[in-house]
Amino acid sequence: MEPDQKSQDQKSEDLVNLVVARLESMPANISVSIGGSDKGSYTIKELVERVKKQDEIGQKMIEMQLNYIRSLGKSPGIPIRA
Amino acid sequence: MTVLITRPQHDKATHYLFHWTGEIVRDAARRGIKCVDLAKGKAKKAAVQSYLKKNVSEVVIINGHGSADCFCGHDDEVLISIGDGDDLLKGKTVFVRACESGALLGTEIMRKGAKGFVGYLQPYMFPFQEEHVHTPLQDEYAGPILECSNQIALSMVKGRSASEAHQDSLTKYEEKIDELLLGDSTMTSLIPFLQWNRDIQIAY
Repeated sequence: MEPDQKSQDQKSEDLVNLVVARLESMPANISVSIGGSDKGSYTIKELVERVKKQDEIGQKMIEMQLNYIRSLGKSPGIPIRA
Repeated sequence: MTVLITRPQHDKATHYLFHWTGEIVRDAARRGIKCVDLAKGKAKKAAVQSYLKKNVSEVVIINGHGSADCFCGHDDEVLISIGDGDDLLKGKTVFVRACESGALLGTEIMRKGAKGFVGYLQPYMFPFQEEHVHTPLQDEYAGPILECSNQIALSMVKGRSASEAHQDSLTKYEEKIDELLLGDSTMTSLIPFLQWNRDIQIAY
């Protein structure tokens, strides 16, 4: 395997692990309604499986969590008074 | 003003939309605004297209499942799709709370003369508490997200344009996100969902 490909695969795996960890931090009694999907609503456990498989639903979850994480870097923050 | 509302109820997602849209129906009643409420099994293609042909309403609020080229009613019957009924929304202010409705259908509805349109470019998502499926208005997870999209309809009922209603909703999203960020809420896991639905919302 080329070094660049290995690095990409590692990044992808890290991202999946990060999204899984974020989903698993949600209470177990939560389900998520995802319109337009085959099943309609998913438990956190089912979403974790989808993220690991990186199917269409899993990709949406990754995209959503990634948007959030990126937004933290763009946040104007709270001004600190001198 | 008269408002036409569809709110099917045949699965968990439409069950939540049905109950949260009840807030809009009640708000319209409080304001003395006439509301054609096509609920549950009344949210069918024949009824919706018939009311639209009679031109009874200035504002149309749709709830249910959808895709880039159509939106559905009860039991996922297609109510309007590209080339089938999209011209019936001419002159109307329209909110479609259905997945991807803003992607293709929204632009087509506008091309055929709608006054304004608010919809979504991607799947609309909301978390919910399983123990609140029978009391969806008390669901602390679904509530903030559905309140933000309800704002579009509430603003339209007040006579606001599609773009103003969209802006009112975005303001509501910011309020909800700030409440979660700055408060002592343990529900910060909701923020990615709020941001997602805010960012995929589009007005024409």
